[in-house]
Amino acid sequence: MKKYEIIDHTADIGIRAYGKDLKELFLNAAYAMFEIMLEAIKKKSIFQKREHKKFILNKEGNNLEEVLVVWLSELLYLFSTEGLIMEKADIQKLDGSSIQAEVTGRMFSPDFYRIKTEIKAVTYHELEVKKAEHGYEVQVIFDV
Amino acid sequence: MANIWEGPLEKIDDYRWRIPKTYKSGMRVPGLIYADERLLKDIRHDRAAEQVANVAFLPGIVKYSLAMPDIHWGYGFCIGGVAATDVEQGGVISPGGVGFDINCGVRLIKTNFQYDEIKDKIKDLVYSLFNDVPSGVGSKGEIRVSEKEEREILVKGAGWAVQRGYGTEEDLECTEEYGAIAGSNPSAVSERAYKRGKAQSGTLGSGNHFIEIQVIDQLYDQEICDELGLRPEQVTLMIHSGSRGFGYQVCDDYTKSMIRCLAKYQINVPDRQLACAPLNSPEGREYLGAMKCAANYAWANRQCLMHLARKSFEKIFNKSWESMGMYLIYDVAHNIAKIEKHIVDGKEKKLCVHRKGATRAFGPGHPALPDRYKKIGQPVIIPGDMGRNSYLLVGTQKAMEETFGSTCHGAGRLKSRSAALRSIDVNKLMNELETKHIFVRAAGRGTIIEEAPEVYKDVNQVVDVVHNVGIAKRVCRMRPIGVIKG
Repeated sequence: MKKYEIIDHTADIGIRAYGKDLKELFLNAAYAMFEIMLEAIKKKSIFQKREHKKFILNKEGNNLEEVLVVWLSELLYLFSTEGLIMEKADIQKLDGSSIQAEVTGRMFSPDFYRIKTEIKAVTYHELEVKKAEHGYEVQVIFDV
Repeated sequence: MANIWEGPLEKIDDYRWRIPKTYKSGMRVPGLIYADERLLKDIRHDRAAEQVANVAFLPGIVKYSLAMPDIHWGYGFCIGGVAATDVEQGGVISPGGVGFDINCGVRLIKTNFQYDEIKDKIKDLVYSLFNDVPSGVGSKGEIRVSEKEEREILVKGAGWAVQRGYGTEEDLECTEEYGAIAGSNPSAVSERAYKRGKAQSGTLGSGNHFIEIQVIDQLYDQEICDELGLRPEQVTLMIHSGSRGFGYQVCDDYTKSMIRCLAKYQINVPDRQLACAPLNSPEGREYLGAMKCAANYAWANRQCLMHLARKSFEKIFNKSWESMGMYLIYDVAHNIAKIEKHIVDGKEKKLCVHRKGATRAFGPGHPALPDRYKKIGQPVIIPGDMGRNSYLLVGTQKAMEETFGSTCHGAGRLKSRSAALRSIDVNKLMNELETKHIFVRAAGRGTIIEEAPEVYKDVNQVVDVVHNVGIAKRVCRMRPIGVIKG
């Protein structure tokens, strides 16, 4: 099954993410967001030390869509302030009112990544988590 | 994307099209789009017009939900929209009606160089500006500030920079709101916004933000040009930037908290990105205070950027910026909400004018203008894409009467970024620009493609409309010769 795709929007960029369950949907949406922002490059030796970090997230929202926006916004915030690029996330709790997850990732370094696009924010525009044939899908528009 | 918007657009005259209030139940006023037949075709190609109709749902909105000829599809509000709400009649303020990049705006600086005099130095200048002005995603500035100073920026805006020696009092006089809007409330700003905005003062950012060296290639109003000291072939400098991560976070925080206000104040809007709260509510007042902080941050930022650019010129030409005549013409905001007085149906009203991708265009004599511009009206600066033109216009009385003293803000996007990346060859594009004697330096190759001229509407068509309809008056036109992109 396709994990996500990048979709067209005149001024901004959107994604459509898929998942067999909500956890997978949320993870794939996050991977899609990082794909818009970054491109991996190999300038330095692979033996160079790369810093890993772990963050605990605990966020709330009024419904699934809001929880998704809060989740992605938190990852965006961690990227812009700490430089965290999510690699794995262990989502312990996820429903229409909150998400709890342990996120691990690498720290941004210009030696390993090129920034493609600055995402300013995750928008609520025409956001809807839908039941699909093999699970769930969602479309998210980012302000870039 | 390929869908054509089929909603009703009633022709009022050659430049004005109405979306009737009956189009959607819930619209409180009609929509009004300024465009000619050519631009209208592009407008129908995305869902911007639907968004104009959606904005008409906002409580307290007066007269029309307006759209300028550069409108394009945004999220919630369209880009290029103007909406005024009546503060005393339950009018709302919406973070989405301002946008994430609060007080994104432009400033225009003149020089006393003629194109011929500096033609051979353009590359040096571009490299020098590119090195001296931090740009690109999340760029960090040379200008470091303490936390106490950051709070000061939020209150004093560009005045803070001038106090630090990055400019003059005259610069402030030539900035909308004199570079600092009153009533900012630093305690309404989250720690997260502080953290995201830290160390970004004096940085250009990325995307459509730029510094351009330009040449005046056409005068339209000799008298005003004389008044401003502008002549053909004169070199000018334009800076386009905003409030960076700070503003994004303020908008993000308040969009989230205002979604809860929709239920609390029983507001019915068709898109959550239109979340809003009455101006006379604690939430509305708090957002306004925080938004003003971000606006002031942006004015300080553009003042710092101009300072860095002046320094760069000083290095290349070994002269002071004053002796090179690098004086600020004006600085305008094009993503902002302002409390202003306007006449509605013969009565003066206190309105909250949202300009999202629209520029204030106050006519001659307006009390908000400095003495030097009382006679000619407020300078309006319209940046175009990097291959075509930019414009200097002035505000008009007609804009006061029709559009709450507002006009367009730029060319308006036509093609999505990903469509641009699929279809444009960067080497070919660079060659084309070089043939036109435009030298470009950007932090990323992707930016050059995403900002290629063909992804934008022709700014000349956009400006034709606002000039012909009279909601701004053409003064002169510039073309780019050197471009620095984030």
